[in-house]
Amino acid sequence: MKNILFTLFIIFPDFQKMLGSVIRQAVSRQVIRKSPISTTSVVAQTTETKTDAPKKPTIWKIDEQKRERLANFGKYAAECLPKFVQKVQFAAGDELELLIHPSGVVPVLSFLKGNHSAQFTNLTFITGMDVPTRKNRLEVIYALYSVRFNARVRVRTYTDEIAPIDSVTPVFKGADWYEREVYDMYGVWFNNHPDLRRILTDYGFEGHPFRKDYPLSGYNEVRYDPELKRVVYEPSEMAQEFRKFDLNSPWETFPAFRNQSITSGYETILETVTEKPATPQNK
Amino acid sequence: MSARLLRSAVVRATQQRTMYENPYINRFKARSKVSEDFHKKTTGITGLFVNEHPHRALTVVYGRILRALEQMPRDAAYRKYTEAVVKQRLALVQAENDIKKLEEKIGMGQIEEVIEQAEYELETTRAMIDSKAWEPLVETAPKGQWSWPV
Repeated sequence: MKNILFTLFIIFPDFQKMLGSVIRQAVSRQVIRKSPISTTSVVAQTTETKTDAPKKPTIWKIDEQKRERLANFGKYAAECLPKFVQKVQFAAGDELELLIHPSGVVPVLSFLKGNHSAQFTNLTFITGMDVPTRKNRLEVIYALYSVRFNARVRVRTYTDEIAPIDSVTPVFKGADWYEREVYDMYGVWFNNHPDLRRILTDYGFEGHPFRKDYPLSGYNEVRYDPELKRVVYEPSEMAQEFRKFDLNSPWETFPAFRNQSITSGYETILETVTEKPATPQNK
Repeated sequence: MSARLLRSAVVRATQQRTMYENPYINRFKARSKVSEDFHKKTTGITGLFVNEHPHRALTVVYGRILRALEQMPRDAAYRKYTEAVVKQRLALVQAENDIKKLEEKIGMGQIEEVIEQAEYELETTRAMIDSKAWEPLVETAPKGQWSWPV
């Protein structure tokens, strides 16, 4: 230790000064940390924090009563909309999800917005999801919030690359840009949308970047060309050494959850089953 | 003559307005006027204007909802529940003349909010009728559509 200090003194003649300033800074930081946050209120200065209760981990606590009410609401919604609701489920313990047929987007969202016992008047977001192995690979997800009842619900529906979905802009004006975003990123076509065009990517962009089959590096690269004095697009070329991706981590990520399934987060409340009417086709 | 008309039209279309002549503000000012002896000046909610005759507005909207609901089959769940709620509200509206007491009895906030809810419900009812939402399920999801992980 002595040796190290000595060499430091030789290398930096100002070392003592530096050390002093570092110590002074640390002390002043300590003073600031100990002083109360509020300088104006007397109460905050006089009462010192004496609560030494053991600190609990901050985890989301599920409100059982609220969960019960949400489950009831899910059943009610499925009863009112038997034509469209395929399944009602909880995700992650207490997040209500309505899984619906793609033809019923407008009536279902209209019901959730307008019904006296729902009043989900706030559209939080619309997003998409891509699972290429499914028959209908794309999923569209609507999240709603009810200011009146302080409740949230998600509506999920599905489509493939071609089949369009009805736009919900007649019900929620704010859906306009979200749907453009979903169209841009996933390529879902929305019928009756007032202005369906790309929103995040450049003019003339090709492809839908959030699809799983879209390459990580994209198809084009952009650079400024000093000779042409403008930005040029070129097909991206990668050196051979950058083409190999080893994305697997050598460590196991969650060893404590090795034997648990992700689906344990989903809990089915209700599933609508149909006995198909006997038609000549399916006899 | 026509040239002068055209010029005046161009001048009107292109002249700069001051911020005090904002047409939106003028329109909202007109709508947000409340008579002197009314018990409140504002709802305190942006875009929601005081309605001095809520009974009339509510009776009209509830009547429309009930009439629209009659187009649904009698055993449709949505029709049953909505008719119950709307009829109960309508009875309250007809029984109580004082606005503040009516708000307390309905228990859904200010009467203007109740009117807004009723208007949304009317839109919902129309959407339900358009889509015939009381019918049995159109189509079950393809197998594995809702399973995760796939």
